Amino acid sequence: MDKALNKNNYFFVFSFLTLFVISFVLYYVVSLVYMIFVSKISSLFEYRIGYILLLIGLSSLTLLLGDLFLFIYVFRVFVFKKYFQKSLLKIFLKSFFSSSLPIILILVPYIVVGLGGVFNEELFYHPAAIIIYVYSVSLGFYGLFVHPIYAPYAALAVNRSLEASDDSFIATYRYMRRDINLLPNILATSIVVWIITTLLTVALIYLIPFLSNTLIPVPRLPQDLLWSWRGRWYEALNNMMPKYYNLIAGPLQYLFYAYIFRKISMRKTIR
Amino acid sequence: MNILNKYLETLGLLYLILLILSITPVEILSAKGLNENTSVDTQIINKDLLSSSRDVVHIILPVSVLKDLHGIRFDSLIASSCDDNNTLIIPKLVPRKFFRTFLSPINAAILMPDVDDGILNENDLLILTVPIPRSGSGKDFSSCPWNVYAVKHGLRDRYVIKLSQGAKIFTETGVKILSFTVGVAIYYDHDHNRKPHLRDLPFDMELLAKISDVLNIERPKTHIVFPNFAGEAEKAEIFWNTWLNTIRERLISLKLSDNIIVSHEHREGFIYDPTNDRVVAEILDKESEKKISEEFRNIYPTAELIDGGGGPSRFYEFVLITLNKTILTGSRSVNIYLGYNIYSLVVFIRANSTSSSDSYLGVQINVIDTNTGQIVWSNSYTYTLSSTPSNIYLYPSIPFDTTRRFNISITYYYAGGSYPYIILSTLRISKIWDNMPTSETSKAYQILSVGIASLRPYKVSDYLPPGCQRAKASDMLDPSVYGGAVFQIFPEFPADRQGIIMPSSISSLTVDSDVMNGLYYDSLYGSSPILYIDICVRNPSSTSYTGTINIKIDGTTIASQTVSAPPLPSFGYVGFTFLQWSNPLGGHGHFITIEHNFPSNSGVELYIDILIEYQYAPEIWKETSYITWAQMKSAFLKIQMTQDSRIWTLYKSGIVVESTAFGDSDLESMIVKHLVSTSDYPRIFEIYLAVKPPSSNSIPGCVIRYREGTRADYYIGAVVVAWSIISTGVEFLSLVGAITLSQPVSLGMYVAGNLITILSMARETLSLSITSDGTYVCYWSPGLNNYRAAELELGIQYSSLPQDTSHYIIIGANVGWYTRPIIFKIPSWPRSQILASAPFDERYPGFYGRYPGEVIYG
Repeated sequence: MDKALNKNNYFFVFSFLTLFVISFVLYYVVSLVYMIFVSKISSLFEYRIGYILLLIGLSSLTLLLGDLFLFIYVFRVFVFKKYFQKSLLKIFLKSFFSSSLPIILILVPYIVVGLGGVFNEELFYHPAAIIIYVYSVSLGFYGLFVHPIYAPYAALAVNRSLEASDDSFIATYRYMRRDINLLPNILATSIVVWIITTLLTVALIYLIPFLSNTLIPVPRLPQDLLWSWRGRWYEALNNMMPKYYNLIAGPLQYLFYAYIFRKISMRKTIR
Repeated sequence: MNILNKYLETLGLLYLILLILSITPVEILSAKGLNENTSVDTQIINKDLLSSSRDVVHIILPVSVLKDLHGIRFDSLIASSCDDNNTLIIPKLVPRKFFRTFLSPINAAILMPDVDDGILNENDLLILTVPIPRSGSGKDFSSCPWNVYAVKHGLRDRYVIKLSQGAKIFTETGVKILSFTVGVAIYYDHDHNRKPHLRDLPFDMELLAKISDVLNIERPKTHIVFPNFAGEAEKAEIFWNTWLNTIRERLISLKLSDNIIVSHEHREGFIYDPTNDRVVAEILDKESEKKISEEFRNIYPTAELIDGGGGPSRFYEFVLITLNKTILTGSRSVNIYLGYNIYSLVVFIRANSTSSSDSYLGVQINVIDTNTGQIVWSNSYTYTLSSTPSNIYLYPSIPFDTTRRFNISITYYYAGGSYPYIILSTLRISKIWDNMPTSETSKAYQILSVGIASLRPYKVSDYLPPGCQRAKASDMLDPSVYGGAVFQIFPEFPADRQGIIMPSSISSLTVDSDVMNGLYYDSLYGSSPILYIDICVRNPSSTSYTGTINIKIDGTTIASQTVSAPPLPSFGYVGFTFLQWSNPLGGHGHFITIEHNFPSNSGVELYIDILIEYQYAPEIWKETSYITWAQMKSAFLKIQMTQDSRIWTLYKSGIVVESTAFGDSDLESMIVKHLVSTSDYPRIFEIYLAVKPPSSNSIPGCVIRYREGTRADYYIGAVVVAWSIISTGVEFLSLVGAITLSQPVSLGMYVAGNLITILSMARETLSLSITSDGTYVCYWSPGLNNYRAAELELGIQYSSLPQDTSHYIIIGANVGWYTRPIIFKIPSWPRSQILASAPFDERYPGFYGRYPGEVIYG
């Protein structure tokens, strides 16, 4: 019993740490993406309209796929209380890909037109403008209203596939359909987690203001250059970059989610 | 690639222009002469000058007699006169054929001369334009010293061509027989990969047409420009190629290689003394290289061994226009500050006579050590010019020294006959910087600054107080190249007066040291600049004054000096030199403030001359890329104007400041307009105007007056409601926490939030904001829209201000564009300046016409 308990403890501690490590990596990768593209956009010599699209596309892809992956991870470890086994890798990859498809499809235009806008700006100028001004509405709606529900929902479905060792491509969608009655639970959990995380973040910043700093320091330009094109972009970068509080509140939000979801939806979800 | 194609087409257009001018029956070149006074002045001014004058003749050589040139790249050739180390000759080629091509900028087909791959073969004919002394130099040419320029550019092979008496040469009037010996050496390189050092058009069609006239070969009557590719163009191609072949046959039949002795020479290396810019030893064989090298190093400690081909791999080039489209009735002098590390210098003059009779052009060149004022090299030439333009290349000798700075003074003068017409004269500078600041640029051509003059001196001959000489010749940049600011305080001074004249009514003047040539200053790799400020004090009244002049950098006083201002004809003078004074901020220079405390009604004037020398690391530039460098103009100018200003006109990057006074001394409104336009690259990133009003009652308004270009943001109209929903959602989520979170923790919401931020950058923006010190900043950014020109206007209305109220204006813009060739600097001028009077037109002669985008060469 003790051994089992100890093993359990190690498992949870290890999983907890892994969650933080993955979050760290995710936020730092995104920070680098922001830095690289903003430095190109704000440079008068290197500016291309395509970089703006690549900035949006690549960072959003990293964040949204990373978010999905983290949900899958916490569901597996903290809701279903299982390891990730090597034998399930193939099923996992297939399920992850199929659940990522909506995200990928939304972001593909950014990548494609973005690359075009870098190598042939004249030809892709208007398509790039359409994507930024018009098409981005869809990404905005998705990120704001859809993804907070879709990500955990898809994560649950992926875990179902893993549980059932179902390696068909459409397994994820099948399970999503099956668990459609859980959508209200997911919505409720998302709202609750959002409230808790936000309050926690506010408290953290109040106690430790340093946590509002960006992960990678953004260069500070002299006062009179703040009006400049470059200055404005660096200011925008400073607003966009992940902050230190993301490293704490970010992983915690998944844990909260897993815990609350399990409590609310235990009867319906776990067999 | 699009930009490359665009500029290749532009170059094709240049060909076309030259071709049209040279070949079509209408004599366009003489049209300008006909509008001027072309009365021939047969009075000989200086007999001595004329007797030593050089006739510009043309020597045509068949490459068949120069066997080692077969297979050599034509553009690697350079020649020089054996009797004058400082006269260079750039060979031209008789084209092999004309070919039809379509030129999209003019939407027409034209016939272009062609040399195929540019590799010489035995059928080619070289044309050398050689200035030869009237009666010969008296030398026997048994030895022809290796030309220093050739040595420095790694050319170790040459043909020495001795034209004996009886050899045939071409002149304006026909084929002549030489009555004395002329020696010419042609230098070349076997390396196909070397870059041509003096790039120029390989043909001179005007000259070829003249040769054809001299040979009595009739030119085809057809044109060379056609609306269609086929039909007439095809026939014309045949006619013109027949003409060309006839010229070739006739030249070959003249047996031009008779009475010519050709000898080939090769050297393994040279011992070059950079201190005196001369070759002290020529090494004939590899074995003795080391021994000779050591021997000479004892005598010349700074001597270097040059034993490789290809020339220096790390240097940069500058081309400055010194004179353009000028009829010389007297003399014209240009003084140019060269700075450090000059590797070689070539003066190019293309000139002819304004009438059918000969004209005599004199050229005097002095190279001066900037610090000591000593002339280190000097020479004078006189040329006999005919109606056919002559190309003259001169190589002034200049020490290569990393510790010494030099100026060059070129004086062009009329020496007799009809007036000379300078079509174009340029100065081509090559510099080497040993330690390239950034590793990425080590293989590329570096562009480094020769110095900055953001503020130009007034024209010395006109407005400099007599006797008010410079303490040192430190500021010699030609404004036509660097486009210095024209700062005109009093409207009665014509617009072409440059430099600063600060009247006593202005107690403080602040200017910015602008980035020169659009080079991006790299504060990490550039060195500390040297700042020179020379101030002559002119006092037109009868009372003597004494005052103190303070110099501030970015608001901090760094120097202060008392100076007296005696009545005319005396003057006061104070000079400041600041070494290691500061490192500028990345992207722009410093604010330099000059203050004085002479009584405001004394009438004392300060004539201010400022030179700042920076060293720059350029942006990374790859040799294969045609995007050489982008010019960023970011100009800050802060001026303090007194209440009794009328109309103040300030030109700096297209800034017009108008202040209109109503009533005697009340300033009731002020309008600041900033017009920015680009030339090649359709992108303005932003424009801003900032003003600190003198009272809190005056709130400025700003408006974007004018824009020209492509808009993209009209797409947003269709989805503006959707965006407002998203942005409201994001704001709501961020505000709920009572403290605004810059980023929600939930990643989907995070993505949406960032989208809003990016979209705000992508929109065209016009904003008026206020800084903590009360400065109103009017800022405009086009967002994703591409504008070629835009004008921002900031206006302030006042109501009865006290006398002598002053206010600050800050003006700036960022524009980016690309230029193609490294040797040409194509600036951006705002429309208002271009449409202004002729002096601005003259400032960039040969590159810009009256309107941006119109490129005229020569």
